[in-house]
Amino acid sequence: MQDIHEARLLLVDDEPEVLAMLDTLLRQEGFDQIRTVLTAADALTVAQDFAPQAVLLDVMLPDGDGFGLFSQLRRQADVPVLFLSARDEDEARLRGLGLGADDYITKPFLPRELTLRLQAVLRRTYMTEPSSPERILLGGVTVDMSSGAVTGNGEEKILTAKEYALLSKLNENRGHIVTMDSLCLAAWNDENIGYDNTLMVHIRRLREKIEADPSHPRWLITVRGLGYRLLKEAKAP
Amino acid sequence: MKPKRALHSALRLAALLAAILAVGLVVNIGLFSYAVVTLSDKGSEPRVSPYAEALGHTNGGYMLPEEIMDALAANDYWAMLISDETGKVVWAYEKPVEVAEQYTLSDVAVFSRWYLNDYPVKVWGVEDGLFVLGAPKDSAWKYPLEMPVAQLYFWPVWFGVALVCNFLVILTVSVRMTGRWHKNRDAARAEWISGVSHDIRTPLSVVLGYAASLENGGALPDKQRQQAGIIRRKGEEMRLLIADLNLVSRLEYAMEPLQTERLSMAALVREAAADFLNADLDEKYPVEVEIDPAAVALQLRGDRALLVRLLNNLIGNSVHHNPQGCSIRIELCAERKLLRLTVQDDGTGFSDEQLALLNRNTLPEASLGHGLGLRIVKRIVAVHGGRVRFRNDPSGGCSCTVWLKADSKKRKFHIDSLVL
Repeated sequence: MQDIHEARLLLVDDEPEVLAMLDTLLRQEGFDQIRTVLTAADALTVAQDFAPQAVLLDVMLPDGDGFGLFSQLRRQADVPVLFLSARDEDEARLRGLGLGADDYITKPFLPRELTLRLQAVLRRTYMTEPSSPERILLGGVTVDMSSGAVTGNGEEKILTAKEYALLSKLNENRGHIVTMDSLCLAAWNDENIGYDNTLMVHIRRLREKIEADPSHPRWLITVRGLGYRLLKEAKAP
Repeated sequence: MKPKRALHSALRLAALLAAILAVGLVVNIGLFSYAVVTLSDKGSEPRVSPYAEALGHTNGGYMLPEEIMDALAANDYWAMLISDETGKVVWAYEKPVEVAEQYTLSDVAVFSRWYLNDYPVKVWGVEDGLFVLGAPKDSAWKYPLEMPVAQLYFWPVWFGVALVCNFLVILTVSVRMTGRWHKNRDAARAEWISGVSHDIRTPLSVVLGYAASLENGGALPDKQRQQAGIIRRKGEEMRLLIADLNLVSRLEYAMEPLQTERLSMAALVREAAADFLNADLDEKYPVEVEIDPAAVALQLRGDRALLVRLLNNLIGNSVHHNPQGCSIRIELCAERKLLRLTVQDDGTGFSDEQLALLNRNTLPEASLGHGLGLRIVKRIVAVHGGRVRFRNDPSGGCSCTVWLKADSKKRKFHIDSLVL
């Protein structure tokens, strides 16, 4: 599959109107191989020759529930399934059953959310994971994330394991605040408690490597009381 | 409207109490009357006097009228007359053979109180002697009652204690029964709400889907696409309202057990603030977070999803009331074994009426006019056993303070030597 929009989609819902709406929505989004069915029995028949690459499955069906159909579909082929449900309680049930469903959306869903989640599931299943950015560019400084080497200003420095963990967490959320708790979780696999000072020390050392002037950081800035933020564009000096 | 409602519920409570009191009294009086009737002499047959007095003289002997004899025979009774002068049995009816013919004073004294050859007997003095009426063996239990008069005077107290005990039993039973009734009614109500919202969800999905499709598709002129956008946004509002309504009903009717875990409120506060700031693109609502180090050390037991909801709703309240923007300040402090969370803004504040409603212990059925956000806050605090207070600040703006019980176990601190 070159593009996730080439994926064959099977939509199962007992409401013809919901099916028609989903069909419209997904075609608008660029998917064009879509089959829709109203019952679990039809779903199984269609699945055999259509061989869907993702299934959108309503939990409540006229001839059995989606959970049962899910197990049967999975026995045929290892296809990703996204559950749709109109009841909050189903989520607990889904978890309780320990089914390895790929995602779960409660009705009424936001159309945008549905397409995003479907695309994410497809990408996860069929596309090779886009490798994490090899390089982080911070003005005159470049961090090579494959080696942990920081080059700039004619020098090369190597990040320690903790500094690497912190920087990659900040970079994943570049432009957004990352709380100290998430940073501690990323670096120490534990919540923030007692690490405040430790974290501060590691951030200072990280700044010494990536900032031109560590005392007046322009990229890795502190958000008082909350955490840190790796800016997308350098702060004005 | 509101005082009327309060009066109404007060009246209902009074009526309930009166009913319980009335039932209690009736049942107690009934029980005592029954006890009195069954334990009294009237209930303990046979009564001896009618037989004794019916005994008549015939020439030189005695005899009972026919119908009295029939009555004796029907009950398997026997009878005899002991002469005052000789102590001999001078007349007898169906007297068992083992019963003696001659009695001394002490014999009489003994059997008149207890039994004669195991026959329960009763005696009655007549003109010529002592009339003895015997019942079949094992047909009666005799126990002469005797107690000091002082103790007798104490009886009303015992009766009073018994009355109070009975009353308490009845009260407990009825309270439990009404409790169950309320629970059933709440469950029915919650189910109804969840059913209705379920029925709204599917059509709303279709509305949201097509509205988005019209808004994003190229088929419509700009004006119509904007209108489709309005339909979508309003649909999304309805979607949130339904979710809130479900949450409120589940919380108010305690439909689901909390999924509690030990967690750090400080981390939740930072996360909520960071998430909000990350989404607040035009920076109309600067958020300042102040966490007391002592509060970082305290954990609490709570439902993570609900506490995140509490924080989001409190921040959301400030945003909702101040479309022009405002500064929000979140503070977390330790107060002995409590965590005090304050969310404060410098916006327009609550109206007096709203403030009074918010600080009431029970929320009226009607919504607070601003969605269900703060109602959910109050509920979440309540299910965590905490307290909440809303106030307007004299300098403008408003604040909400929440006190939550901290878990008694302290978090263990990691050693800062990890730096090395």
